[in-house]
Amino acid sequence: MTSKEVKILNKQGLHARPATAMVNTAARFKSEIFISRDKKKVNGKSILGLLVLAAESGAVLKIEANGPDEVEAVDALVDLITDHFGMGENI
Amino acid sequence: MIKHDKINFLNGKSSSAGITIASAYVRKLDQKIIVPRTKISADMISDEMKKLEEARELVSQELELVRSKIEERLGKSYSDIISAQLAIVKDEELYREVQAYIEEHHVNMAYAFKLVINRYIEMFEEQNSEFFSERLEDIKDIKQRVLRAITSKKTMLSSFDLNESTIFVSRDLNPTDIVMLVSENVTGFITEFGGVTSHVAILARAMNVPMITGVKSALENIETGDRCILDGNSGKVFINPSEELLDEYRLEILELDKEDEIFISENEKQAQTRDGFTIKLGANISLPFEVKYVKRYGGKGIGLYRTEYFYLMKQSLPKEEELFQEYVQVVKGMEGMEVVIRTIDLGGDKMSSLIDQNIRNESNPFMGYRAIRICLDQPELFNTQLRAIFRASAFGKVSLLIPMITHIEELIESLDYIDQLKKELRKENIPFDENMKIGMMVETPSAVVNIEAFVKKVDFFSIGTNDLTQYTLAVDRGNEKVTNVYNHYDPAIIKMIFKVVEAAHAAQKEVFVCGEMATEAKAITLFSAMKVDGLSVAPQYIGIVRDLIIACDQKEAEKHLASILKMDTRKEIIDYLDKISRAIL
Repeated sequence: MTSKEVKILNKQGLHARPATAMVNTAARFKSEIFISRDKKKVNGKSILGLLVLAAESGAVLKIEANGPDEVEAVDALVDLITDHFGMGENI
Repeated sequence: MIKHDKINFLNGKSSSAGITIASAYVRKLDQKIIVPRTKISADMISDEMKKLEEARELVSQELELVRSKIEERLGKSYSDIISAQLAIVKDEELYREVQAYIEEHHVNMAYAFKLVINRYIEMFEEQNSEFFSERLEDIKDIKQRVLRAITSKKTMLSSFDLNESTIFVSRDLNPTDIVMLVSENVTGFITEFGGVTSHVAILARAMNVPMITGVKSALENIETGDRCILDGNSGKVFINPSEELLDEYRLEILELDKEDEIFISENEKQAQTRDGFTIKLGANISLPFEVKYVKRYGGKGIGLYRTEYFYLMKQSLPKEEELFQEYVQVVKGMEGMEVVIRTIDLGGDKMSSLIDQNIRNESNPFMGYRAIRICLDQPELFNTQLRAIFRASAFGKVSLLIPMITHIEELIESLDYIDQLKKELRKENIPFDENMKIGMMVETPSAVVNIEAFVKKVDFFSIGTNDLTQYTLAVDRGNEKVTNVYNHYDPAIIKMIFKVVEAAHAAQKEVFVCGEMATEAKAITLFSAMKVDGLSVAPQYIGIVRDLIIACDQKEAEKHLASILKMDTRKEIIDYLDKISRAIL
């Protein structure tokens, strides 16, 4: 299992569109992916799960992956989040 | 069974003008789709999951259809409003959880689906965060759609079966509903709620469909199939009316249609008074596709482009390029005629959770985080808009309008950002109109009292009579209990408008009036007496207002101005304006 922690940087937090971007990225990997915040842990391939985390700007998420491409999966998700979900700093 | 007496007349707030006669379709969203719990055997599980898969496919297809309709009617950038619903209906985890529940408890999938999705709804409700309130609505919407598809194998639209023209009655509506329903024979909307959904009313207006909001107990009193008259001009609904009344309204619709044809056929005419005084008659728009109505009715420009509606329809903050594409569509569409682009006027009754995550927590939103206050607090948000507006200015005649200025420092700070931006654009070699006019909205008493200071800093004023009345008389326009207080013919308002006109003209600058007042005959007489330079009204009103201007005699009206300004009461002013309007119009 691979895991990393990452802080949500974009101002709007994990809103519907960033969450959709995360789900789309996660879906590219075979590994099981879990995202957790405090005690809540959800499936990283589920938009409903990610929204339930209600992660606002500044929230720290733990990304965990388990499977053949777990390292790549975690890195891809961390990159996506640090890159403001590829949507520029304004979102 | 006791049959309660139904009321056959209801009224509400006219949110989009026009009259329609049609049978009603009443959507009772809170009407629960009953899902019984039944035991199933293990060998039925895969069949049940297949049925769920089919229902889900049906809903996805329906939403994709809606998406394409939205793109067709409003443009590609608006399909965002449905993306969250699509992502939810396609959520794999949701279906995995349903399957797990069925496998464990051996129950029917409809029951399992409802239970699983309700768990999510509860989780979202517990968070009680405005940030996610829109998503909560999306999830509830998906729940209803999927359950409907499971139980009836029909999509929402096919279950409505709207073959003939229909008046759609519901507790509330979202933008998706409007676009979808207008494409499906809906010719009018009645909702019980109003207020916060003002962007829905704008959409109805933009699509030329009459709408009445805030109709209390509409769902109790109107039944699907009832024939109704929806009078969006007066905010009245008649349920199963008499033949006499129907005839009266049929006649009125005919007359309005005829009038409309005349207005369109005369769209080349100038808005000039009998004695040769020209008033620039422009249109208020919220979305680019309204440009076609402006041109159909012969508007000579866009007097007010309310850019905040684009923000209200997005799931994420629009980027500069997106805004530029929106603005340039309008600018190019108007072919060299002036387009006044106003920076966002969010806050008050319309706030986007993208801008302020704690929306609706303000105890007094009209006095709170609104318009230019937001922009100065979030300079990058302001800068993005300004860049897009300046870039669009290279493609036609653009003016910039700043809303809700209350004190001079706000204006100075705004102008500093603008100067800074111009330098940046020059450095980046991005073309823009160096002579673009910059104006401010006059909608607060402080702006009027201090108008001599403001006039030195801007190129033009635009008076927003709705807000100016609200702030001057300290009256909430939406509050029924004080509607008698709200009146834009109050001597205070009339004097304020004239003060602004005098100050602007003394400095050889122009004054425009936008706001509902500008559509009334009395007001046209008054504004031509004051020599207001331009009026901006909803596209549909251009023809009416043009005719009023053409019928007016400016010099004759001006003779009465001094006496009007001396009057003490509203009644005197209204009666006098009525009298002289009849005489000189």
